[in-house]
Amino acid sequence: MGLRSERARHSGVPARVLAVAAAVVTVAATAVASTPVASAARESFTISGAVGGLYPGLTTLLRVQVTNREQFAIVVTSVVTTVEDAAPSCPATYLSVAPFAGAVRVAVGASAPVELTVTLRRAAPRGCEGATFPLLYHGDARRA
Amino acid sequence: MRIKKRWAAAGVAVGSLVAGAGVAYATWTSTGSGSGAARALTAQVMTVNAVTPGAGGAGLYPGGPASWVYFSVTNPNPYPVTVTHLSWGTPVSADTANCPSANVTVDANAPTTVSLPIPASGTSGAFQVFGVLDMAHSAPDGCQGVGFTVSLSVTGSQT
Repeated sequence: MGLRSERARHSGVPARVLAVAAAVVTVAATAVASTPVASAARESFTISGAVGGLYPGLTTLLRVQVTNREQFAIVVTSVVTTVEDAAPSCPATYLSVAPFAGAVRVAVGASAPVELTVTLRRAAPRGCEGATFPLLYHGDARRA
Repeated sequence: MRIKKRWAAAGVAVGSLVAGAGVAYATWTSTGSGSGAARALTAQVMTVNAVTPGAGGAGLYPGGPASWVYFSVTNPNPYPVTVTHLSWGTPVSADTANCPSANVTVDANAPTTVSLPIPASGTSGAFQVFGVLDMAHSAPDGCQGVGFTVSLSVTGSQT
């Protein structure tokens, strides 16, 4: 069901959207050409966190810690999570982690929590009992 | 007139691109990453608790119809469960000297399919299941007022 709607979204991208994307690429190229190397996007904070006690149908909070490795305060603006299969009998599709979008300030050398909403789907099979889903986090930030 | 309008539109587009480039130059952005895990719990075993009926709850007598049993169920899991299957063991007399256990048996038609709701992280109220135990017609007087315990295994699933 989800796969079908995803396909429909992609195939239904109007020409207008494609044109805008091309314009954005042009802008980015212009910016890179005149931007110092030090200002290019790079990894400057880490994200870690785990959650347990999941069972089918449960939606709960996954609190991850964002640690600032820069010499200045940052504002984390987004965190997205990629879920990997827990086991062949418990694929990643049964777990969802909602993306975070907002503004969380993290001081120099400090950590701050970001709350994500995680759901183990009601239809999770028996193979998910006691299973562990690896999670990969990726986030964006800007200078505070 | 039509040509002028077209040029005007192109001018706006170029202006936007230049402004976008300026914003990208001034804004510091960065990324971060990491890993973690999400773990599903393992279902915990429920416990069946014997409930002793009061004097009025006794239903066994020699040759009488199958009587009822009482029990409650404790569910340690954080989600509610519905018990759907019962598996009866062998009744044991509380006074084997005066009333041997063999005087009471599980009825051939004792129910095994049920629907009993058990709350999350808690204990149910007492359930009364009818038609479970038979007392032999030849049971001695020593069986009067004697209690019997029958082992019971329950199976259920998350509600």
